[in-house]
Amino acid sequence: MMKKRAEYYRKLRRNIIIVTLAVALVPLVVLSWSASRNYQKYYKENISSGMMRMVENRKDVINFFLAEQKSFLSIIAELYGFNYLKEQENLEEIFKTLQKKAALVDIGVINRNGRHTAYVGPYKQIVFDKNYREEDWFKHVMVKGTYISDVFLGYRNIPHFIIAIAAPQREWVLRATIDSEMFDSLVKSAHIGVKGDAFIVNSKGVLQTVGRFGTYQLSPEERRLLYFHQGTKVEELETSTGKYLYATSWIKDNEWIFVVKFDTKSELLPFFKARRIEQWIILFASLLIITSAMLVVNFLVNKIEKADRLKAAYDEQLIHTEKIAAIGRLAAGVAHEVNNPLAVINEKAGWMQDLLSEEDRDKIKNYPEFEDAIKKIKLHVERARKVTHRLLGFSRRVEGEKEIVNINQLIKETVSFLEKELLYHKIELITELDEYLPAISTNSSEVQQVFLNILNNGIDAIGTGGSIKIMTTSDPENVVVSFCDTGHGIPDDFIDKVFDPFFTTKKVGKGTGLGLSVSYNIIKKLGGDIKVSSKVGDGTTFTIFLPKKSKKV
Amino acid sequence: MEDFKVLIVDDEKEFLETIVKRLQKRNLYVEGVDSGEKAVESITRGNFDVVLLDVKMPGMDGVETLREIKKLKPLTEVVMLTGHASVESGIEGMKLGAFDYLMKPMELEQLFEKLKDAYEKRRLQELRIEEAKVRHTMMFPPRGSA
Repeated sequence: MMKKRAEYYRKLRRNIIIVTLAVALVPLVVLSWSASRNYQKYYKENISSGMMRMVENRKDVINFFLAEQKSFLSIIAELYGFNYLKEQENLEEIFKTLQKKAALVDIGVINRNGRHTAYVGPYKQIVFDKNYREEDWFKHVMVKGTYISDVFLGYRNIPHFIIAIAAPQREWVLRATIDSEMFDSLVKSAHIGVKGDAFIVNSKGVLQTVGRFGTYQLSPEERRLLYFHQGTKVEELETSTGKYLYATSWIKDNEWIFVVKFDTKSELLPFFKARRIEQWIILFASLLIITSAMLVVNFLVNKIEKADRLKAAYDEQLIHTEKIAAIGRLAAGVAHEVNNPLAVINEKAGWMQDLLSEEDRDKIKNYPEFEDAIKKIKLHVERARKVTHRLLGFSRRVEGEKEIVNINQLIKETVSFLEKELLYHKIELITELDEYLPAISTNSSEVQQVFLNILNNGIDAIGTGGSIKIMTTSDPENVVVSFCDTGHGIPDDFIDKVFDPFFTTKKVGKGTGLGLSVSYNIIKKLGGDIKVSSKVGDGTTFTIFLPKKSKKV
Repeated sequence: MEDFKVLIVDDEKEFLETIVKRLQKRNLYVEGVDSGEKAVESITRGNFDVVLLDVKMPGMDGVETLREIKKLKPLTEVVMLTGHASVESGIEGMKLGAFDYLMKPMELEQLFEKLKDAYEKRRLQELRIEEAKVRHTMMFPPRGSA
């Protein structure tokens, strides 16, 4: 039974804790998770649109740069003509002026046979021996009129690219080398974020500019970006070094792709840091919630447990009382049924006695025997009558009926139950009973139970050797009974608790802690009062007040 | 001690019979009936001074019979007899005008005394009524007799 109860409370405790924690923690966790997720999403969207704008903008700048370089050359070609430009000194003059405005490394004039007629720049010797007629770019420019190459190392082992334009009649070509470094920095400046990068790749995946962190090789994942699309596109790729956002756009007649790369992870670092702090806060809050939930639930369940125990104890007492009452009713029934035949036997015996008295004593041989037998019958009927009447009295008592009780008599009767016990503990009993104590209407068995409880407590408190004094007096309203023992007394801390249920200072298994609580309830129910005063070492006095006039209920 | 008439009412026939015989032996005029209904009948018919009435009977019970008797002959004294725990019913009977109650089984002498006391009470009551009547006649003598 106890085990079952313990199990029940453990389950109750666990269920309440689970529900409380679920209610408290789930919203907290969901909220923080969704907030972090939404924030991350919003942040990425923001970055993407920033990158998109940046790419669009830079694309225009790059296109403009390339167009500018081309237009420089066209203007020069148109303005001066082949006859002027083929002269070395004239070209040198022009180059000097151009260098101030354009990012040119060198410039050359090539006739329709693919030979330089004039050249200005650092690689004069190499260039003059070279025939370009069979080169792809030369063929291209002769057909289309303009040409911009990919970046290459060339004979000079420095990254550069060339721009060439052919004269309208395709009689000659003006060719210039563009400073890669300047172009690079133009592209590089498109990066976003500390670890972001920006570069140009041709359709085969060869880098056309140097990235911000030195020469760069496209990773296999990044190669997936090399497909043709209109306008600017932003996508996220997971590479071996981490997650990156890429904004891409094709430029230069779809030969080059302009890439702006954004390091999501490192850029989101402050966000992750904030999230870490938030996680700590949530963890701390959760611990706080868990701890307080545990404490509160423990407190509540303990209260419930105590209340249940109390109720069980009272129920038990009630059941006990009802059981006794049932026995009482049974006893009354039996007594009644026995009384009737007893009455008949009694009368029959009486009749026999009446008749016998008329007979001549000497004529009947066994006269004395008959007389004796009748007397015995009457004696035993009387004996049985006493039993049945006592049963009836008992049943009346347990029915909780009030009767006229002489308290002094009740005390004497109660003490007689304890005589042996008192003797054994060497306790002297002193009674000072008021002779003129009025009889009162009350329930004698209940009052007797209270007297017994208090006397038993007194005996326990004394142990061996001491005295218990019982006094009865009366005041205008009450009959007052006091019990003074010379026991160990009750400490001040406990004196207010002695009537609380389950309060006991006796050893485990010795006292239920219910005796005084029950006594208190009985006396209160009978309209009286019970008081206690005590001094540690001197003893304890219980004083009971019972009303002379029972209050109508 | 004058003789007086006693009616005993009890459903326990053996008890009734014996107690009637024993009381008759003591020179009392006694009749016995075994139910409330019969008791009411006898009271209407005869002139009983004292009734010994069992509380618990089938049919018309003691308390009911008592009410009826007191209605018919208010001066009849009734002693209640109970074998039951219900001292209460005895007391209730006394509230309704019964003289006293006895619990079964009882000594015949005890019963005899009770019946005598009851009769004494009835006699005194009759005497007082008689006196009152006399006082009344003396104060307001009937016409033509003075």
